[in-house]
Amino acid sequence: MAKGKHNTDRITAILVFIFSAAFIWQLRYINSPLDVLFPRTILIAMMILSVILFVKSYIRPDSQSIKDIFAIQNRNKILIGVLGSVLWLLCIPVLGFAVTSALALIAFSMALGKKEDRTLRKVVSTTVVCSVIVAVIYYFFSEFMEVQFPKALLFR
Amino acid sequence: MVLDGLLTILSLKNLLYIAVATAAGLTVGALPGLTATMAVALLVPITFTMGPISGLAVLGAIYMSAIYGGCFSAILINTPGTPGSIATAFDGYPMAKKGEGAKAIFSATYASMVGGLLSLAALFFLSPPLAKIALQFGPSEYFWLALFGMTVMSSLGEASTIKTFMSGGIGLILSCIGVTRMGGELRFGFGWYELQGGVELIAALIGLFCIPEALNFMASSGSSIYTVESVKKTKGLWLSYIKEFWGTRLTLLRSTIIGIIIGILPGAGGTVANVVAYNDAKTYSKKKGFGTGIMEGIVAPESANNATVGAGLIPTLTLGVPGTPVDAVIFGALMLHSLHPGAQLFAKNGVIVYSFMWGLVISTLMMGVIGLSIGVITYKGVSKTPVRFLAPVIIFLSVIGSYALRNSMTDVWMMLALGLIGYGFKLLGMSTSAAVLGLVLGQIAEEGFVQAAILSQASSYFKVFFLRPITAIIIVMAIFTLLWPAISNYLSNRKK
Repeated sequence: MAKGKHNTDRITAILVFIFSAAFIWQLRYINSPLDVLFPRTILIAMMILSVILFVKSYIRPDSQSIKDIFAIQNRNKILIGVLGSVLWLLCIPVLGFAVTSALALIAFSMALGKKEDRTLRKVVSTTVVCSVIVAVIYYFFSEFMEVQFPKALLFR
Repeated sequence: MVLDGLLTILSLKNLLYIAVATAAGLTVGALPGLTATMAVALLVPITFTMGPISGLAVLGAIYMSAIYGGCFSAILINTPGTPGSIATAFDGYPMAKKGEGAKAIFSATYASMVGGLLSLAALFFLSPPLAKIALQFGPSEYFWLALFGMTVMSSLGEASTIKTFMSGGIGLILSCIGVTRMGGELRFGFGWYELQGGVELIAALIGLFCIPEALNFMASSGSSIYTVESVKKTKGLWLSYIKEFWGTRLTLLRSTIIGIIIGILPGAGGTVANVVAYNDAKTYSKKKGFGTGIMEGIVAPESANNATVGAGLIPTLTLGVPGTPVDAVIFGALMLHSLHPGAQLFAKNGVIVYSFMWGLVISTLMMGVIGLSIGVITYKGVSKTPVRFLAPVIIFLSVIGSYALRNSMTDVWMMLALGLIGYGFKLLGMSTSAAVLGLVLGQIAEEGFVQAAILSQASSYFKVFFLRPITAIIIVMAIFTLLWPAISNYLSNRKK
């Protein structure tokens, strides 16, 4: 296998085996046999499949499954997406649903745009567009669909 | 009485109400997280002031068009707006990516319309016998029906067979999280009591489909989410769509019948119907290339999910047994208007009931005009929206949609966690669709399995699980579907 490449079949087999083992271990706390039967059958089947996939990854490796899983195009943008989403949810109890969402949308749009587009005019237009999008959707959900949004420390 | 119902509904006021409700239902269905049940339930108090005929017509229109509206987001951004549109994304999104979004919307619209109209015909003419058949379904039938739905996994083609079944298994296990059905204990909680309510299906659906797609859009360097330019409008383009649509008539009819049969079964609904119909089309259609953006792959699930609407109302109106949550809300709305579903409903309040049914027919016909217009405009809008706006808006809709389900931040965190798992699935070459199928069908399968196992204590395990006539038919169909690719390969090799 070339340097930096991973066999995704092998990684999947290991992860699914660990997942199945962890869930089977959890079944010890269930007393009713009928509540155990269905998930245990599936988990055992998954463990067998993961063993088969693990062995297959050595005996007859699939060329399509050998790739560098970390060589994602625009990895930084993915990281921005993941970390930004987590931060978004963490800020909701402090800043409120609408304010956090507007700020997140503006920040994401600026971060994902081209560097040469970060002029004052673009920043203002992005802010206006994002605020309007959030306001319309928020209003639709809160007024028409009567969704009760959580009360935050600073804003509603 | 049937004609009186039609004449009653045909007032300008009622037609206007139905048109507005159809457009509103489309919007609700297209937004991930907003369900038909939620929209219908919220509108019940409002429609109460309208009187029974207008009020019920509005509720029926919202119901029918919300089920159809789920196809928009499935086709345009690979995110089913409702669980009933899961399979629509399999071919709808690849078709939109090829620049044929308008064709995908066209197929979904008219398939939904035909499915809806034929199921309403069943509601008009076949209610009593179909309702009797529905009552024959017991727990073991539901268990095998769910397993039959799962056989679609073998032909998804998103990942290798082993990885597809592993993904499906993960979905099935996720469906087992929460308080158990028998003992009332917290299963797979890992110490988090927030998981008592289980994994919210819609939140999971949003997470597994929306978040990986939004992250993919972010990673893409292009300015639009579609890599190919939209097909240019040429003379005869729509005519070619109509011709191709006519070519799918057998699949359309078969999928509608599947939708009607599954629709009248309490608890199954569009979620199961669209998957089973897609599976059926993939197995028996002569067309090849399912999953690459072909019309039959859209026609099958869309006709089936809308066919469940009229069919679901059959046991609701004739037996007083609502099969799905939306049917239960409609049942409640009927009661609010002093209409008591059951054998006497048609005899005592025939005009109101028939006007409600005619309202559904009109709303389904309106979908053909309103839906197609809104869909094509939305497609053009989405294809022109810069990725830097579209990706965060998808995340915003995912956050707000999953919160709105139960007003719970736990659902939002669960959605995000499942979204990241979904992205991991993509990296490892696993199948998100199989995981969602497992999650959807797991609940029905386990419930049927446990109840059938209890029943088998009174008679015999073998008798309950294998010897009931409907059970035997479903088992044979499931085995045949699983073996069909091998049989068809063998037959074509022999011909050569």
